[in-house]
Amino acid sequence: VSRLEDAGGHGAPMATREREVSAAMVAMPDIIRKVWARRKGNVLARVDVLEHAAAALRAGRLDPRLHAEAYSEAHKLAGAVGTFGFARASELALDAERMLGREEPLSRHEGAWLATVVAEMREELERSSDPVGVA
Amino acid sequence: MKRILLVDDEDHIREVAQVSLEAVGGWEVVTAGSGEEGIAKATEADPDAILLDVMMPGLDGPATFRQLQQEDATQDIPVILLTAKVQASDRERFAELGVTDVIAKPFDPMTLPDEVGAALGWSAQ
Repeated sequence: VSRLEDAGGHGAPMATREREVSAAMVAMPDIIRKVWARRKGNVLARVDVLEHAAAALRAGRLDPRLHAEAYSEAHKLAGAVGTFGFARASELALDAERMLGREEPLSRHEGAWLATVVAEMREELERSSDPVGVA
Repeated sequence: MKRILLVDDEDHIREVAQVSLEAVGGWEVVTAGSGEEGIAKATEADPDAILLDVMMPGLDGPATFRQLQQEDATQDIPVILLTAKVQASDRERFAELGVTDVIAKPFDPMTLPDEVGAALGWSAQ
């Protein structure tokens, strides 16, 4: 196959396309950092919900609405923050999602566990302006 | 140039995925922030494939997919689900829906085009 032949329907010769991809790969970390800087507040708002849920659970008054909201936010965090390089925070969010998704009633002790997990998650997300692995 | 419709309710995920698919994948990307908007855009933009988030408020990914399957204009468009839930049971459940593939979140923006390309049989580079 000729390197000048178009591939994959991009409409650009291969050699040109390769240069474009290389440039994009080099630029990508900076783009991700900029998106994170702009969107960090929205992501941390999801952490706020988990903190409220942990506090309510520790106090023995986690209502179904907040429980469902926290489960959804944990799921979203698990899927999102890893994309910005926060692998540990993504794992912690997945742990929180699994706990909040259990069918059995949750205990106050699990509220304390959730608070610890969420605190660690927030610490990682707030610690660096440069996401881990992207810097 | 291939066109992808990206449906995800999270702004930051749409933004990163769009940059990745356009700059690295070399594809045109149209975005939608909800299942409802995704269905409308699928008809308007005539995409070659759809990346569809599973957990969204309102119409979620599976419900959106089922509606796309009911429309003549969109039923043949390959759909890839994006989800943080990728346990074997979830994957089987999604496969039974008839989607083309499932890509796990979090995704790596550097390799997302490769994953999409592999699922669709497209060249990502």
